[in-house]
Amino acid sequence: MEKNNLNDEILIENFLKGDEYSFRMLFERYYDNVNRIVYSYTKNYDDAKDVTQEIFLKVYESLKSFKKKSKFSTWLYRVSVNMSISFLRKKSKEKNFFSLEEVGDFEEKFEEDKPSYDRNLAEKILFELPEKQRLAFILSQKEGKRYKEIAQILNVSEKAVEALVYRARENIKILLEKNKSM
Amino acid sequence: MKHIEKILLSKYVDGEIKKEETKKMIEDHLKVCNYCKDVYNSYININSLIKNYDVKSDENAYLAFVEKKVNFLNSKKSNFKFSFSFGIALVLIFLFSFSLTLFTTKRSISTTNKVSTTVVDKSFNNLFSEDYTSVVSTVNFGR
Repeated sequence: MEKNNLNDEILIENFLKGDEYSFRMLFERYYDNVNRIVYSYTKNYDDAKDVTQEIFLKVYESLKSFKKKSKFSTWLYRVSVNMSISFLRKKSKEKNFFSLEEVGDFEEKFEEDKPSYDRNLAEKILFELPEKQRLAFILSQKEGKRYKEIAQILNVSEKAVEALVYRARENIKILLEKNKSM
Repeated sequence: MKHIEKILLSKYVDGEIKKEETKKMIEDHLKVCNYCKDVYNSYININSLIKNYDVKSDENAYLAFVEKKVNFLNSKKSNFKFSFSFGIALVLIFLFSFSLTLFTTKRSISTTNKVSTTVVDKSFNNLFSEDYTSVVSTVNFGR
């Protein structure tokens, strides 16, 4: 059986037994997905690349403590969300953009860095959504996650995910209309 | 005609409706209601829009990761070396101060012993003397 076909659990077991190549398989399987999640927070390609590397380093270090209570991908996405938020917090503190009281919704206020490449319409519209709506929508539509998993990743209820995805759809509709008329 | 709640349609598009009868009710309604059908189609179109969202792939990502990992492991090693040497130094300082204390205590004990021996000798001599008050005071002093 080729290693590429092995499921995450087996790859993790092999890695914990000392097989570094299994970690490489996991890395290659999830790098783009994690990068996409991180990018939806940082809105900057270079920052996303750095944070994604940090995330995999963290995973490399703490895979021993992965309790297998949830799927590996759910755990990985959760780590990605948490580390992206910490990164933004750190960056916002460094730049001293706004006061501590506003930390809750800092993502919306965060000044975007200049993108390193042209954004397509999808990206443009997605980045206009509030952060949680954007992430719930990407996780659901791009990563193919069920509402239950998204709830675990974002640490909210399943009902909240329903509402987030629905509101994202409605907002995208409005933004598309706006875009047409421009 | 009563329309389907949009949030329910959104769930339906994502295949998140678990009850078969609810699914059937939505499907039947979509066949006859143009308004809900339009909403449903708009949600489907939005889904196809997101398919275009992607972040450019980084071909050298794993190589960069390996480099980062090596640096991290090296810094961890040097941190361990530093902590280890620091720990050894602490143990040595502790042992030195402990032996120094032990040495001084031993010295003071031997001096006290000498003093007590002299006092006992004196009191012993007093026992055989005629002066009882002196014996009592020496014994009390001894206690």
